[in-house]
Amino acid sequence: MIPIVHKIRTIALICGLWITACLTFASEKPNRIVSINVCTDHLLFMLVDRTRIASLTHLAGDPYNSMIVEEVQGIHLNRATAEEVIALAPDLVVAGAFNFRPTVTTLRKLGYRVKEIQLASSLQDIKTNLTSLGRAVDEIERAEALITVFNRRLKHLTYRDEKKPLLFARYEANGWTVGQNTLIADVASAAGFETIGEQLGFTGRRYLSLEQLLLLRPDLLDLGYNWKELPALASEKFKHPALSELLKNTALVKIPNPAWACGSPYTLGALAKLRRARDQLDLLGLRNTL
Amino acid sequence: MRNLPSYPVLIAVLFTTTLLAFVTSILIGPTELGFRDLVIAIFGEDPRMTTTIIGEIRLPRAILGLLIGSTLGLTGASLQGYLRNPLAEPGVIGISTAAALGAVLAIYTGLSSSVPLALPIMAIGGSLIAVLVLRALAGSGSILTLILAGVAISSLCGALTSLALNLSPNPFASLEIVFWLLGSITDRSMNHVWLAAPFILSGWVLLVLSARALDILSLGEETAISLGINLERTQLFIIFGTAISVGAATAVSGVIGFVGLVVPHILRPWVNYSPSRLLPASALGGATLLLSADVLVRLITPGTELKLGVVTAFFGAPFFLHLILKTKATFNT
Repeated sequence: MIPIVHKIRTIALICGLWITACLTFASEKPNRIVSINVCTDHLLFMLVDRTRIASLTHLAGDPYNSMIVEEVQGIHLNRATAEEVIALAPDLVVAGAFNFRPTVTTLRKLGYRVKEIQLASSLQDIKTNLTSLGRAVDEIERAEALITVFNRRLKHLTYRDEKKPLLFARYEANGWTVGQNTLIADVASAAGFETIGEQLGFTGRRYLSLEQLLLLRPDLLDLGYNWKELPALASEKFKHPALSELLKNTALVKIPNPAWACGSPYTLGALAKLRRARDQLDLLGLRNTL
Repeated sequence: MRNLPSYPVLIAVLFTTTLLAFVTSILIGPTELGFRDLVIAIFGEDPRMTTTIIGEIRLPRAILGLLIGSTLGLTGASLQGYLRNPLAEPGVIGISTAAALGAVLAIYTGLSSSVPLALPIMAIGGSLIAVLVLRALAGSGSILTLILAGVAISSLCGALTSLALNLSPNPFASLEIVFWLLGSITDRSMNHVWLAAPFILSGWVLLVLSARALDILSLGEETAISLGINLERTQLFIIFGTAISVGAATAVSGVIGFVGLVVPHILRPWVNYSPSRLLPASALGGATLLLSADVLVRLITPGTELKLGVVTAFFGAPFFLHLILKTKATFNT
């Protein structure tokens, strides 16, 4: 009898220790994660089970900013105020490295764990961010799996022809365009394009006059979202007769804004579209020779 | 009397400067186009998009600069004559800001996209209300009352413009507040010219028709009446002429301040202080000033253009202060 009791005791003890170990382990793995940046929303959503997400930003539910509008239905959405975040009792807050500085400072001061993620300005950055966030949420294997798939698709989509890159312009409302050291430029270069900003030799995002756009005559143009239903001067430029004149002889591509705004595996969707456009332009021989 | 050039000479000089400023405005831009390109664009085959650039981008810009500058100069001169107040000017006394509010309401409610005419009409409505309120508040009061009433109208309309833009659902609102309160004629198109020009020109007609009455009004209201001036008609012409031309101008350019203040003051001694002669001179002077300011905007920060109101305030505001000091004696009475 007695040895059996002993055995049971030993088993119970082992079980107990195991459960304790599990609990300790679990407490290190964040289970109430709050994201206060739309870019980290996307990465977080791909890296962890939705049960571990306590809240994403309201932008994750906005079609202009989010690729995951339908998927995030049912998840709490926040507006990135410290008060709101604290009420959610998070064990990890994920933030972008540039926005909501006062919120991040306040949360840190109050002892919350905050993981900051740099904004991706290249395809490489996307992979770095996946690894970095994967480590923070204890999902390294998942991050690695995502990166493997990412690399495979990237390799498949990259333009390898020796031909000269064609000229690509993203021309958004208010006349904004991009140059060197931007995610768009990196993606465009992978698809066999050079951005109009790189040709003009500027870095980052900048205003481009309609005149310059017309004179440089891009081979491919992405006008972004047209904001038709939201009247604004910003989108009025799309109605300019001079632009219509340019559009008569320019190929158009429509890339959803969130694919550009945030570096995430979804960005490869933009690369796929640009690459397809490049192949078609090559096929048609529509090189702007002037 | 001082040795001043005769009136026709003055007008000829101003006309030449306006023409020069107009041509410069067409020649200056972010893309370097020489005079040769201009000629090609007008007469020849166009291998690049030069014709489109000149015809659809720079020409409307220059025409709007001309129309809006003249409007501001002209209305400044007639308001100063009519109210017998040296500080009256559509920007300073809030008429432009009220027009901008009307335009903002027309655009951001989506009204102007279904009915394009709603844009100038709502802006004219805004400026008309402002002129009438000003007339009621400070028409016969002191210089100071008018300016203070103008400041009040201006800040209220500015705040309401910001409010309307903040409530609008588009994400560019904060940027566009800057446009409406500081003005710009960058990348406007011929559509804007067609939309604004008929109103602007009819406003001018009303103002020019009241020019003679302004001369006689400078002798005082009672004298003017005894000399057979129809005071009510003059008043209506000036109020509507100002509201219509400033309203339509602001609807496409936003608020551009100080042009109507500076120009008449500089030119007044050159026309022997004659209000009627000041009108055409101020219109030409205003056009020269605005076109030059618009050229400066493109030269100072090429690429990212400054707003026009920034440039006009740079020389206008110190001038305004100078005028206040000059008229200080009048304030104290």
